[in-house]
Amino acid sequence: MKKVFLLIISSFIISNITGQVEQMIIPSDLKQQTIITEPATLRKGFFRIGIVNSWGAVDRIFDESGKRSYLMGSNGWGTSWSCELDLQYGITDRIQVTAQLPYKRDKIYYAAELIAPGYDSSLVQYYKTTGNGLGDISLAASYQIIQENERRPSLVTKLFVTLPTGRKNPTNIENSREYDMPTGYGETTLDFHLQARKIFYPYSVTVYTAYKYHFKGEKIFNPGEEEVSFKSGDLFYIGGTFNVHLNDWIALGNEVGFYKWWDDEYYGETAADVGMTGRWVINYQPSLVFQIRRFRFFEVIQFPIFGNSVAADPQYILGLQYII
Amino acid sequence: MFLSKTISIITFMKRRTFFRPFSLFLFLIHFYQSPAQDTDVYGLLTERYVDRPINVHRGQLQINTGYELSVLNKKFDSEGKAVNLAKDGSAAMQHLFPFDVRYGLLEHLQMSVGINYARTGIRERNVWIIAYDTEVSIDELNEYKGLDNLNLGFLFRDPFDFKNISWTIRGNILVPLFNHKPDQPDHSIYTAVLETSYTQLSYYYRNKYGSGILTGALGTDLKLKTSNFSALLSGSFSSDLMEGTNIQWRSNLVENEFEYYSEEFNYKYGHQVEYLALFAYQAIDWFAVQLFACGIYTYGGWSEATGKKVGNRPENLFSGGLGYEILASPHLRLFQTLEIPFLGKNIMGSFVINTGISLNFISETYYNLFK
Repeated sequence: MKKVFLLIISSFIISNITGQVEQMIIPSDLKQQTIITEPATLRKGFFRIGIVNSWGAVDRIFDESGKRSYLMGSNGWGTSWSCELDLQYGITDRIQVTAQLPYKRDKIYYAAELIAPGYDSSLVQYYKTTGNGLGDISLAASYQIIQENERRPSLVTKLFVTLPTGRKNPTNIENSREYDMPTGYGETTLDFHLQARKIFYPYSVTVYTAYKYHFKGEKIFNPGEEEVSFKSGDLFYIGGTFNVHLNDWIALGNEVGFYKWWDDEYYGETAADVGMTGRWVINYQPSLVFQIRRFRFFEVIQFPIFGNSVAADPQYILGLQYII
Repeated sequence: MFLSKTISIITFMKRRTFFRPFSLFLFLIHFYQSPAQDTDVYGLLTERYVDRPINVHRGQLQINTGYELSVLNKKFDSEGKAVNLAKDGSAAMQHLFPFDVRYGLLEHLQMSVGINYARTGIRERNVWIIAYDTEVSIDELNEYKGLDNLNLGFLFRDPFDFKNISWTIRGNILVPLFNHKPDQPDHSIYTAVLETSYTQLSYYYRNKYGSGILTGALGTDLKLKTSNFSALLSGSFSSDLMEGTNIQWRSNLVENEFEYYSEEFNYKYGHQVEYLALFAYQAIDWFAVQLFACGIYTYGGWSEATGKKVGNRPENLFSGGLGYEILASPHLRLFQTLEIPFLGKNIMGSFVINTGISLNFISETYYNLFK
């Protein structure tokens, strides 16, 4: 009888202890969560604003045999920079909307020496083609189908719509190499994205897949040509990330992605790259993310590892975000 | 105390026993009574950037690697005028993967071994020859890729362990272990006859990255520090220890086919002086920002590639930049620097982004061996 009494008393004590555990939720703490600990979509009423800069140069390509090679027959050299204003808002704990407004600045240089033996003369020509301006704006809605808990991962679906807000045709044409390049692609796209994520603190693992559909568009591909109707090849991509907290403020990300494009279609005469077929690439992108209170600073380097008929040079991405 | 130590060492040297291996060993462990012995291994691995000695600690293994992207878009001519290589038609990028391992044999003695792998392709300006009924386009690519010389080094830090100042001397030898001779070129020709005759000649030279010459280097570093600031002043002198031999590929175009032959020539890169001033501010215990200025001056090189011995023009480059280091964990440090060329003569200047990691481990057994 004494043992039974002690058992009952001890079970009360245990139930009291477990009953006293409470989760302390302070909004300001939740806004300081890192890419690993934050939920898959923004919480209700949270607003995040960010600036994302991307820079890359065009020097080498993966050729049709998959070998990294230099573009022969031309010494064209290009750099591309874009600065994107990134706005995210949590409508509910499961629904997030996003707007991305890019500004682009591209440059292509080309130099040649012309020698005319008949006239006993030579001339060095240099061209610089630039493209500055607003790019194509993207709007997105994300819905968290499954919210993550200790047992199951989160599952998020996203739908991106990219609108042809950027200048689609070349302007201020002086000749075939001197003009203002377009800053937009002249087409509307729909990108359906599915992502699953699980946190194993201090790690998180993500698997994603997506399909990007391109609607038909119409634009001038090269100076001097007429507008041509076209449909860019759709894009399928699949990948995963493995992120780890190095300490409370720093997370190291690792992402591998496979991208496969279908061939473009042209419905008219153009000297565009109609021969570019069978494009695919596998990228590896390590990233470093600082979370200092509500500020988040991140740097990503995207390395194309293997590919076919795509650019083979790395791209640097720097971003700064703040959550309100 | 130090005076008596120094006198005993000089006496030791005078007895001509200094270079005997065992005597050298005794000499080195003589300086083992350092303050580091009072610190545990965790403390040493989490030392702030500004507090760290120039060398690694006794028993510390440090592995450094990363990725360095250089954008070769500027050239300084013989008068120091900057030429935009993108306009000139020869802009390029270099991808370099550095790797080096350092080990602290003693608290004041470090050995290191390092090597770089790099790849770059420099395309020259296109040449178009236009005649009445003939058009010829010529383009040229000079590719450089492969492993650099193996860099073996020793660094000795002063044994005085002053709180705010330390000084090192270092010696390196760069051994040309890997093939430095260029592979046979892979030129190509394309012809077409339309209204006029069109020919495209593509010259593709496949060079190696290594210098192919045994090189020796001597350097020194001085580090000054306060609670949150440090300044590092470094200088080094390197020189070829022997003449190098290389080959130069030539070609003849016979019936639309290239025939290749090579010619051997001797060369020397000459002497090189390098200097660096690096200022660091420890913003947070795990985060330090850096500001630096550095330079390189090369002279005395020559080559017989043209058939005659011709001296190379002296090269001079002064650059500066910013950087940071993050102490992510006791074993992992992350760093990044951005370097911009400011002034120079007869040299290419590149914008450099260097991103890397440093893995650090200390063998407690080795560290406590002489405790």
